[in-house]
Amino acid sequence: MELKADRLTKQYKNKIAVDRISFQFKEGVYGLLGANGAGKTTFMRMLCGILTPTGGEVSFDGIPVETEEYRACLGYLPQDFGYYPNFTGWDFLMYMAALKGISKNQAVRRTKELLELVSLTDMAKKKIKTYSGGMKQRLGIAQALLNDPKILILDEPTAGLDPKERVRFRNLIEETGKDSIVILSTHIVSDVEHIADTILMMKDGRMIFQGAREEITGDLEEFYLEAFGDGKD
Amino acid sequence: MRQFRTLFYYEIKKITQRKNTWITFGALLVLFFGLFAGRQLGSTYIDGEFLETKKEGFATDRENGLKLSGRKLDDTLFAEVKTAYALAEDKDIKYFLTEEYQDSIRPYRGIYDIIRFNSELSAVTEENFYAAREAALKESQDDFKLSEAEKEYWQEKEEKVTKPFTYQYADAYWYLDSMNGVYMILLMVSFMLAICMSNVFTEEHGRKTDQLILCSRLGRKETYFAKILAGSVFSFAAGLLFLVIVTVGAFITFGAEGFSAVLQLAAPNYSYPLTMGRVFLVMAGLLLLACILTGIFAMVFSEITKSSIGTMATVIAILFLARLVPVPPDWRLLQIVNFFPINMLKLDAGFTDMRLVSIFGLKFTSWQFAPILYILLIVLLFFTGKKVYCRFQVQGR
Repeated sequence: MELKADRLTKQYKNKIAVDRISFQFKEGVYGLLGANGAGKTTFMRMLCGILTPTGGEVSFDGIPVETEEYRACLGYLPQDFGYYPNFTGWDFLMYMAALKGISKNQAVRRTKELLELVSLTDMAKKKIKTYSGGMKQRLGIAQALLNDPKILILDEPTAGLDPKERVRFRNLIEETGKDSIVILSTHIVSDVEHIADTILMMKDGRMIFQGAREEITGDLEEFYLEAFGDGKD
Repeated sequence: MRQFRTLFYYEIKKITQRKNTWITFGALLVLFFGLFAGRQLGSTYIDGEFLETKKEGFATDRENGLKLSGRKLDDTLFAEVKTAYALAEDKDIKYFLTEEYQDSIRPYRGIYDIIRFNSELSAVTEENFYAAREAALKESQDDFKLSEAEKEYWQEKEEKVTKPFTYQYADAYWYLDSMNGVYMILLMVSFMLAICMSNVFTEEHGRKTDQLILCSRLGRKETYFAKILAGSVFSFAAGLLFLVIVTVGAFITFGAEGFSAVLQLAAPNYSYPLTMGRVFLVMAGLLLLACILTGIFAMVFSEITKSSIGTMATVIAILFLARLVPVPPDWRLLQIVNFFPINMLKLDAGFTDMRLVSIFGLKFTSWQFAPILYILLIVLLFFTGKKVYCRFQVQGR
């Protein structure tokens, strides 16, 4: 299982948002750290196939990013997760399951499982507009996991989660990362400190660090601040 | 197609759950029921004096019309009308209240309206009535600058129109084929579709659900099909629903008689041998196609511009411009303006435009070609929209 980004570049008029990033992702959890504007979201969008790179390629086991086959392996939670306020949580997951090509019976089973997993079973029949921020975020996580994705891309997934939920989320990601590629972007170092096998750091569209978590001796937060010179943001 | 039914179901659900759908739908229901109630309720007064309730008036006109149904528009009938209307000479408005007017003149009102289209009642005879019509037909053909081949075509059709015309009471079909009927439905439903359909795609961008959809397995082609089909079904259903409401309302008010009345009673200067009922069916078909076309246009245009407000404004601007821009009849190129649905569904505009469309040696009248054109436009819009949707890039934000 290999997700390959090859000289991935995204250039806007006068700005290079992602600058020739090459990386091969294998099973495991990858923590992508970087300040706001570092290019994390652009990089992830290109990995998801919703933003065409100016240069370079993305493929999964040789399957190009723009194919349906690639998308079938993908789970994605965007930073600014959108939803339909008048849909119930149940409807939303059933709809997302249909989008992912999951058969109805399987979708019902998986929706039940995931609602249980993210502790939203009691809220399943309530409209999403009545959910708290944390509940919406958990629903977003559930939709990303619907198709048991081989590639799970999570952009700032812990935003809005309370400390207890964060711990549950970390455990969930750790479990998922055993047989999938999980790429988790954040600017909160503690989110990836304990679960990421590999740390990636981006600055100004470039990958300034890539290495196993064990290679970083000492505190990750300090290492991060050092790498970015003048602090996180 | 995989999961297509589920995707379609949820797209319909998204449309019907929007507040603006219910508000516009409710407003239209109120409008059409209001128009119906306005016809049914109330009374007619002549110079402040009560004549009858509107309901009684429609019943009387229907009874009178049915008595004359089947009569030829010939010298005998014209003489009867002239004799009757001679009684009203030099009478003031209160004469309408008299028994004499109600019993002797009112029954001929329908015939009188047909006569005065091209002739003067006092001088009308069978011969000059049809001669005046023939002259008006010729003048109309000259105005349109018809080619010799077109004139020949219309001559052939004219020969199939039976003369003298047979009068038939057909007030319901007069109403439905007029600007109060199918035309009004199109106008109102177009407003509704401009509001409801311009959100089908833009909602996803506005809510940022587009990124979830587009990275899903079936988020491109299948979702696009589901959205377009849901929008088209909604547009069709909206048109059909209001068509049924207006048609039933017209039948309740006027009675359903007159399907086989000749079109020339309502549009004397047109040569195609059509009945009022067939015209209604053609218009109803065109209305439903036009609703789908308007719906798809709003969806695709909003996806191209990423603006629902801009799309609403564009649809409404097209409706008004197509109606209000004066087009000289001899500007052949601008014949296309009459193919805008809002003109095509007007009996004295696009529908009876005598300029033909020739394709591969086949000649089509405007109302025969309009559905072909609408289907072609629907297909063109469908593929344009697909290209734009599938190539969308999530950026910025």
